[in-house]
Amino acid sequence: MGITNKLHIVPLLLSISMVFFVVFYDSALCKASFEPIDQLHDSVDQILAILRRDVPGEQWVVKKEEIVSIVKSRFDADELAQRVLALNWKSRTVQEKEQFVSLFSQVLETTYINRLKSYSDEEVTFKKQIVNNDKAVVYSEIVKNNQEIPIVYRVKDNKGQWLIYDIIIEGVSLVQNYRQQFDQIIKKEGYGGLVLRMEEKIQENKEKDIEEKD
Amino acid sequence: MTKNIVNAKSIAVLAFLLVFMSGWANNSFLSEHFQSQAWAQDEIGGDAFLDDMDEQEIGMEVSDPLEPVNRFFFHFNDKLYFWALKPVARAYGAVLPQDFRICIRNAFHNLLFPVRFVNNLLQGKFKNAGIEISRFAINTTAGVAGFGDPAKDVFGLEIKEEDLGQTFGYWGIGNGIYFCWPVLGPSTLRDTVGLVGDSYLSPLGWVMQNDPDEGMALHGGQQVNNTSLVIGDYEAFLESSFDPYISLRDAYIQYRQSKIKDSKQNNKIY
Repeated sequence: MGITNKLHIVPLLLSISMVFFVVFYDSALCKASFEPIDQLHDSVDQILAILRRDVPGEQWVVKKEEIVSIVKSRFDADELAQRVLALNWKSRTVQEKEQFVSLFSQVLETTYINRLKSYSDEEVTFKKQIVNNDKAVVYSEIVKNNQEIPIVYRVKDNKGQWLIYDIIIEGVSLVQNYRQQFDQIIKKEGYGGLVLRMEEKIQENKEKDIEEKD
Repeated sequence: MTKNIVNAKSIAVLAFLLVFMSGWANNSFLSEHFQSQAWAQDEIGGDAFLDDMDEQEIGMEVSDPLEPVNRFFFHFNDKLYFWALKPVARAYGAVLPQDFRICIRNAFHNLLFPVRFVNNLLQGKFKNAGIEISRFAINTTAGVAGFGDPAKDVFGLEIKEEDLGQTFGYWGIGNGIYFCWPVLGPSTLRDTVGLVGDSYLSPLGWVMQNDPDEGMALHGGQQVNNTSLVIGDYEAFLESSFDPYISLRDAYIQYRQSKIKDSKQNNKIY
């Protein structure tokens, strides 16, 4: 019963905290926050500001570079790659691991960054966080065509910076989705086959990128 | 005898189209409403972290003994989307403004109220069932036959999405085997049985039984309308995957699982 009552207060608390957030947004206090939700919110706001920036003649490439650097500083590429490979991680050599981390980051970057181009009018809200030692889960929501799409980030503390190692959209974990695909590919074509496939994908995405520019 | 066959046929067609509605073609399973509040009820160290798979496991899997057949129909559906559904939805979207298409989507959704209501009851969620009644009453009147959603916009009543597949899951019934149906897209044994059951609760299903032509036209219209709002989603999905068949299968299983988990958590509250 107590929880039920609490639930009714959530919207109220949310709106109050939003007001506070707006009021104190510029204060140093908030900017230096160690809370995962604030750090993610800040990164997303920075990206949205770049997307919405309307400088005449500014090329997408310029914006893209800025966004990539923000995204990179917010992701834990090692952790992400390791989780995607799962059981297959341990049997890799040090070089193979390094190569995989780099390839997988490139795959994600070339696949998803250009897609942000169309994400400028969407509204992003951050709902709440759950912190457990050096790990946390941050719940957010994006509104697209009048429908709310829940996006959950799994983050890990890295010297005061909370870095993303999985994104769950509508209940679907990115890590698990790639894990299942890669597991099948390794079973059928071996690890070498997977590396080839990743290289192909990056090449493909880059070519598409050039086509779009022309 | 003949009437029975016709009836059975129309139910089959209806079930077909219903899965289609929730199937990949319009990607609605990626963009449907989702009760995000349920996430908010995770406790520290609760489900959210139990799901945090470590490096040791492969993750949730579904038995797929029919993979070769399923793959065939996956490709069939893929072609169907690019050759038929997408061009039609595009032309339709060029004629009707987006706001209007969203209203039409709302109206169809409003009609499926009995499915949500009954399944909330079947899971013992009386409060959510009550919310669904209020939503239906408000949206059908003030929302002008469900075209608007003042229940949510004005009264803050969120949709309590439930279907029979989720109810079965809530009762502890597993997925069974995976299917990729032609036209309808991804499903499992449990969810397919659920959809057939739900079709008896759907007003669109009743239309289909009485007048299959009109029913088909309505469903076709709904598909085209809803697809027009998510054009690009399926393309983006293809671009991001290495093996789209596996990726879709996993996404479907994870998505349904998260919905059922929501169902269970909602029950803790109400």
